[in-house]
Amino acid sequence: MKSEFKTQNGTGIIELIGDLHVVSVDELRQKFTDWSQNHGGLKYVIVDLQQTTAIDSAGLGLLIAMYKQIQAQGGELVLCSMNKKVRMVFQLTRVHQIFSIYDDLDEALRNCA
Amino acid sequence: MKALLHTGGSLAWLPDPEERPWILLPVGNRPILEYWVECCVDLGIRDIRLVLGNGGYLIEEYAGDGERWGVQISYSFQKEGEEPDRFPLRNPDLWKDGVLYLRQPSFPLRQQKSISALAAGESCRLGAGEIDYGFYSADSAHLTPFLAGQSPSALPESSTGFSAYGIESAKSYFDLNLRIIQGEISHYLAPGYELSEGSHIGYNVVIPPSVIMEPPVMIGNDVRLSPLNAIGPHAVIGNSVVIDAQTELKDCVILDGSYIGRNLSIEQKIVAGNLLIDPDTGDSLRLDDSLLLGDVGKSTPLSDFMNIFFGQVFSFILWLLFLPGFFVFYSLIRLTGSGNYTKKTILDARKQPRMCPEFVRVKKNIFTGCFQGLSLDRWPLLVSVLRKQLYLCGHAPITPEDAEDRFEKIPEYFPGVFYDELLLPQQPSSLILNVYALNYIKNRKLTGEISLFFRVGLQRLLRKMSNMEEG
Repeated sequence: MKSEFKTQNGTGIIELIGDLHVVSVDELRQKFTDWSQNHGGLKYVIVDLQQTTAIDSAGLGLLIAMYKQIQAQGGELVLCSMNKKVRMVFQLTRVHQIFSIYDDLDEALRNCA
Repeated sequence: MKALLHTGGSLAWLPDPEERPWILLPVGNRPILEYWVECCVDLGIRDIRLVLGNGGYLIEEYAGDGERWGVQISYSFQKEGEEPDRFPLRNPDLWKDGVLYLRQPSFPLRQQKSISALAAGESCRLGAGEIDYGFYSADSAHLTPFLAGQSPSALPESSTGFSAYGIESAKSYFDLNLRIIQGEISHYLAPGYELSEGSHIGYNVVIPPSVIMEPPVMIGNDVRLSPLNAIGPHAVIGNSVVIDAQTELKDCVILDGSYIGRNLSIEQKIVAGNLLIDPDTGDSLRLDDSLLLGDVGKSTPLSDFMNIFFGQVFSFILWLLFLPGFFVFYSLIRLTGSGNYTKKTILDARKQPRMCPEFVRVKKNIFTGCFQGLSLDRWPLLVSVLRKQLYLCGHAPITPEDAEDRFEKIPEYFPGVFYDELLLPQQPSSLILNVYALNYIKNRKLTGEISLFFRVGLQRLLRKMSNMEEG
């Protein structure tokens, strides 16, 4: 799995590309921890799942951990651009109740401004 | 013009909203979702956005991308607890050219068959009495303040030929179903279809000659009626329903996947699986007796895959584990002449006749006790699981002689190596076998499979041990 971390107008954007599963979770968690330490105080962090092809329970766990970490720093982590496969996993596990989920990155950016 | 339909929210009178989102509730014998989509099609709306709540995956599975209606359906989430009216504010530009907006559970009730789209600059409310279930607007003077998060002005009643009918209570839902079968269904029929003699019967419905049918009745697809049923007047029966013999249904609504036992009389009630709902009071009663009411249930591709995967892997492990024990005990049984295998014809998972070995005990001794108690007698059948001819856990296989009668009563077939019927003391009647099979189909999931395997295995062992002690 590839990931890109960037900021745009004071909003953090994390783009996750490929399968978010148990094999890639540790590396991503480390990258996120390093990145969030260097970018403390961000009010919103958007996780863009447009190119995320699949997700498993470890991936969901990581997203929840990221959500809690950002929330503890006074910010909010939101998700956007889920494909059908990822959306199904969120619904089956009811994790969609936790997050604000937007249809695409533009909509997320508009609402997180 | 677009449509924005909130499918979240639950109906207080209907438990288990996650298993049964309100928009998939049948009216007549089709889900409410279909009526809304057809309403959109008639209004010239091709772009429909469904905002999902709990159980939304069932909606997505059902509607897909909307291709079958010639519309484009897309899906969104809204965080739980957030006001529905907040959703359009996320991206106001999407809705500014006009929107059919539904915020609460309701049904698009047509006053006549044809409905008309609004002209530009018009708006109307969708609702009855004091409740607004949503609105239909092509008027920027109304939409602009709404999409800016302000309270819009009050809207006039709909003049388009339809409005939203609330289904907040069991009574309103029940009344709606009866209105539909008492004639209003003609408002919803597509061109080219007609209703003959006030009744509608779906595909793959088995109706024995002794069934008395009194219109108006509406029966969905894949329904099994049994001899001496009396159906109607005013009976709405959903899809995949099994009704056992000598049962009378009138003035009632039976939801999809319900099993109704024999010798019952159901009147002025809604039945949802094993849940009996009184539409007048909204009271509901969940019956645990599957001889009365039950849930036929449906397997999903995921659960099927998990069950088959579990069955295959576990069968292989069992085959290896049982191998030494089988040869030791079976050799001793043969030497002492206390049992042997005969061939029995059953229908396999593909409903094809297949000869299977069946252990027959000739003499009762410690060897046969251990052989059967440890379930080593099932060892030859494990190969059939690996060949996908049987399931590791399931219900009792059906013989070709019973096939015609039994397949009328059960919607799916899962012949198993281990099944609860093995614990029955003597050969049960086909009624009992059907109840066991329906129970298995209803509860077919991975945890149930594991539980069934250990329950049957351990109980067989305990029974043989106690028999040996008594002996």
